[in-house]
Amino acid sequence: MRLVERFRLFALLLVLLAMVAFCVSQRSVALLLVALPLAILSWYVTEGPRGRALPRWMQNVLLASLLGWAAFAFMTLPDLSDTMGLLGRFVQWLLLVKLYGRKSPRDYAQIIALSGVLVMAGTLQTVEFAFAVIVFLYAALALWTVLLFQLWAARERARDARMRAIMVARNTFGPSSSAALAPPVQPVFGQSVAWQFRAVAIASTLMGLLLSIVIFVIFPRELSDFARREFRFGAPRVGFSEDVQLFTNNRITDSEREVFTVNWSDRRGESMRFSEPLYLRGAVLDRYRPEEGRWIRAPRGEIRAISTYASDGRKDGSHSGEFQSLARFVIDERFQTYVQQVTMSSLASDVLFSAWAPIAVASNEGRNFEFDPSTFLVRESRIGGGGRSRRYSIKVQPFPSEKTLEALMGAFIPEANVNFPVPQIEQFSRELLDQLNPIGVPSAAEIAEKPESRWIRNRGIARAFSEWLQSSRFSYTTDLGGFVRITGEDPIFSFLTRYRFGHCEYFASALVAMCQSVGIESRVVTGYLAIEYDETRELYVVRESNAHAWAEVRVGEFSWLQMDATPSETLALLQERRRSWADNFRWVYDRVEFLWNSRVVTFDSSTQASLAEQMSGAWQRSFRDWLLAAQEQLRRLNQYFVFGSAGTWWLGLVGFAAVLSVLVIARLRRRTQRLRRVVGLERDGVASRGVARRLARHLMQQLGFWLDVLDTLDRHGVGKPAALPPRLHAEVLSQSRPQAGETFADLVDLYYDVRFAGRPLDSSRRQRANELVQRLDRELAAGR
Amino acid sequence: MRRRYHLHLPGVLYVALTLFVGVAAANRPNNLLVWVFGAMLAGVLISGIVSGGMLMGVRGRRFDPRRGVVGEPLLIRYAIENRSRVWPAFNLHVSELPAGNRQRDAADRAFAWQRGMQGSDGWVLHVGPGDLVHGEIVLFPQCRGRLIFDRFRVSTTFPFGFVRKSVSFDQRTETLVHPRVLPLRDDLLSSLTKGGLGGFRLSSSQGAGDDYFGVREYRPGDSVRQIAWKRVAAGQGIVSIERSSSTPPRIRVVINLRTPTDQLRVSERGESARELEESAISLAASVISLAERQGYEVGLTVLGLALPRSPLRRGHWHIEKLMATLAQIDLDAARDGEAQLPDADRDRAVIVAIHPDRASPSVAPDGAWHLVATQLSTMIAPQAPRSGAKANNEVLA
Repeated sequence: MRLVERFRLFALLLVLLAMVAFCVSQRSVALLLVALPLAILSWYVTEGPRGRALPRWMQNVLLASLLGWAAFAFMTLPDLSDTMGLLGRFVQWLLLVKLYGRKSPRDYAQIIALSGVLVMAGTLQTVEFAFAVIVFLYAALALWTVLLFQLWAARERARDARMRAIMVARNTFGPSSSAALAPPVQPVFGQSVAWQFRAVAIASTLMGLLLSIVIFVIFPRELSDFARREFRFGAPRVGFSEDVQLFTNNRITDSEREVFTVNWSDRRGESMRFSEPLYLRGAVLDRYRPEEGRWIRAPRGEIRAISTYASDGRKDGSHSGEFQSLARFVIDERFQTYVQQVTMSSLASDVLFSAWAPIAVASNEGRNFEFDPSTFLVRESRIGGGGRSRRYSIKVQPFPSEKTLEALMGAFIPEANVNFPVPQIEQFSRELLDQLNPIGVPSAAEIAEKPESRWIRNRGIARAFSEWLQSSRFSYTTDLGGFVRITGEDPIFSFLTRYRFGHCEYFASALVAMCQSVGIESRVVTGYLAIEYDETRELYVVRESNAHAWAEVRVGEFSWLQMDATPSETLALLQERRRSWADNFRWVYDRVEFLWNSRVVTFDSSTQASLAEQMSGAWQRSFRDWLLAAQEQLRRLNQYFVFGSAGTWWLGLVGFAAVLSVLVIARLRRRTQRLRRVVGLERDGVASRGVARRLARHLMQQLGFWLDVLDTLDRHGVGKPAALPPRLHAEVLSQSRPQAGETFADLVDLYYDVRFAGRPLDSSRRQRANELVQRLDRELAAGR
Repeated sequence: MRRRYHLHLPGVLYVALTLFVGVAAANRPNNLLVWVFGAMLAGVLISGIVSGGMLMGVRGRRFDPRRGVVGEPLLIRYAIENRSRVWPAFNLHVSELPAGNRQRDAADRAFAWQRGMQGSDGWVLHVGPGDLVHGEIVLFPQCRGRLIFDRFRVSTTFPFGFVRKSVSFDQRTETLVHPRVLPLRDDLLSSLTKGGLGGFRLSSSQGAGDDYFGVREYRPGDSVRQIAWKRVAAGQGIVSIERSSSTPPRIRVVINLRTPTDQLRVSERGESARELEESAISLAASVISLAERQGYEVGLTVLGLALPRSPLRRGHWHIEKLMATLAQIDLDAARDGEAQLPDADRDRAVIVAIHPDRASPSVAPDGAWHLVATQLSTMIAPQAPRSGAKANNEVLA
């Protein structure tokens, strides 16, 4: 039948989807272009008109070769983290071999299982949205395929078993035996089999989706949260990173994917393009670990909590929530204050990217934020049930006054961190400083006499270093293929003295390293550089390739000066407008991808707790509201009928009795309907004829015991099949349980008397019927 | 009716894999992996829900099987009904279960399933809600005797094959397995019954034969072809011709089972005593079957065991009775060593006495033919030569 025959096609589609999923996870187009056509070709070769398959021995040889290759590749694997990738490639080739072989039910079971392993290997390596979509499709298709496989394999096995039995009989009794006359196995099925199969498959798919979501939400996540913090797995590769590790280059990307957009407006709300590129700060790193070549955050001090509240429900997409100040004191917002409205496209992060210096934050939904006065960074402290913030607004003063900065910092005074832990760089920096000899920098004596002048020194020296780095001695590149790590030599020192090429993280690291080496407080800042302005939409488009790193140098008690040591011409060239026609259609994908990243990829224990809290609160609120509404209705009724003080109790009693009555009537009605069906009144059309209606009602009153009889039989596992007459069933029952069969036969006599002979049950016979039912129950329980 | 869950290797492997993925998901900050774990766990739950709901309304009934014949397919039919209003049932396997201990006591000589049966289970693809379908299983009985059907089981691994769920139904019934019938040479009986009591004879009663029996007065309803037109022409009134009935040749098969099995004389290299007795029974069945095919009236007498003698008759149901008698022979029962052929069985038929080991002429009157079980192979009709591959192809076709 066609339903079962579809299985093989479904199995092929499943394998193809698994291969596509793995290739997407590996980002390997070449693998896809080789594997997919070969897999499709296997259908023609094995299922086509010639129907040829690889012999078993050749499959074994190929399998042995694959195993040898996989073992060799594993031994020579440079990075053990790619083990799953290697496993996936091995499975992919193995699947191809299996596709070209003969396919028994066992082979197909292996093929389905291997395709699952292939998808699993991809799942362990990526969480990207495109891959996730394929995994969802795979899961649904796998469910259908497995259902079909059950039917197909059962048919094949039944046929094989029948053939085997015939062959055994022929071998036992000789060729003259009529064993070959045994009928072949044919599928036996009822009505609407295809439709019902689809219904079961769809119901299973929906049930699976629902259950998987529930399990996803309630899954314990403490361990995975720890792993997320430690290994940073699962974070999508978006260019931005909260730390800088110079030995690896996996964060730098040329991807044109839109991360978010920024609308920059003045106090009146008019959108505008700022005179300079916007440096949107995301992380501040001021400690360097030379052994890891890594910049990290210093331990944070006081954190200020800010909460925003839901807006009044405006749906125009504007960020209508009220601004909550980040400062301890009131800030004068009349001068140089701008509003930066951020709309996330694909990135879901707890970091609020903001230009220097943020003074207030707003969101059109209730959110909790943390403000770090030492770095001026704002983060979302706890994710709501709806995932990460998609939109937020930040008030910014690009040129803040000392008072503004003081209000933001409060009692926090930054500590001087002027020890850079690489002596070679310190020596190099001092020599360079002597060589550069910047003009206008106060001497040590002048600083000792007037401490405030050290800020002038900081600014002058940092600017000199920055200009030196921006000179033609250095070149900007994201290709670090030639940047070979020298054992025992710090990568920043290698950059300054040996290679002199690198990307923004090297330039920023070098500037901060040199500044700290000569006692200037400075830090590396990572984030995005918003330079691409869309005149049509009047907003900045920030892409993954706009991720950037720069430096900040302390130039006052509270002031930090932003310095970008990366060659500006090169940077401008790289960051120039890159919008393509495909970007016109990306907004849909980006929005869905944001939802995926925001609600699934970043779902952690805090989100889980928040969701549980919301759900619990919602249930409680809902139940409380319902209870109050019921009480109110009861009170009104009491007032209307003037029952007095005990009226509520009386009403409650009446309500209870009404509910009970409804339940009893429903039960009786159901029993009556069942009885009509069982005794065949509906089938005979007796009940529909006017004259016989009274007779039918009379029968219904008399034959209640018959339902008890049938229920008793069912309960003891000897239920009467619908097609079997009662008398015949009594004979069948007598064979296995003679006493019960006899009792049942007596009951059948009573039933026939009432149903067909028209002899009603009087009280004594009714009592006898009840006794017989009880006796039948006892005898069946005793197995007699 | 009993419901059971059976552990199934694929299910165990799947659950182990699910747990492995769960551990990996707990230790790796990969939410897609968590969802995959959720989907796999949901698969287990769905499997339980769907397969449980599916078998909840399934009821089965076995139709009483007809008698079987050793080496021939025995079809057993089942009515599978789905009483559920919602759930369809898919991929149902029907299989017979061996009888319990109560059938293995010494008093009950029925063959256990393991000994007596080889065959394949039945398979039903689908039973919709409220539907009733008929499935069948095919068995190949290996030895004759009473065959007891005690319980049968309907099981399914649908939807995912993780768990095998079954519901078994108690429905005790039994049937007989007739002895194996081998194709004997066509000229065997004619050579045994040549002349004498074995030939065709005219009967002394009217019937539907071809020979003239007499005339009688015409009765309304007589065919015009029965009217004796010459007598009508001679003015003797309308009379009808009556024909005589022909009496077919008769043969009585006598099986000599007077000697207990352990006292039979067997050669060391040949068949065992019990096998010789079974061969003798099979030879008797084959002779009876051949006689029926060739138009003989057949009777059967079993010497040495308390079994009723059967008269000389023809017809399908008579042969069935004789085969049933042969099927019910209990070789473990006590033998009567002095049993003789009753006088009523000595006349009006050719007697063919069949002995398990050696011919014992005393059991039959003079003129009787004596066959020995070991001769069976020499009496089988030669088969047309067929290559093994061709035969196999025929079977597979």
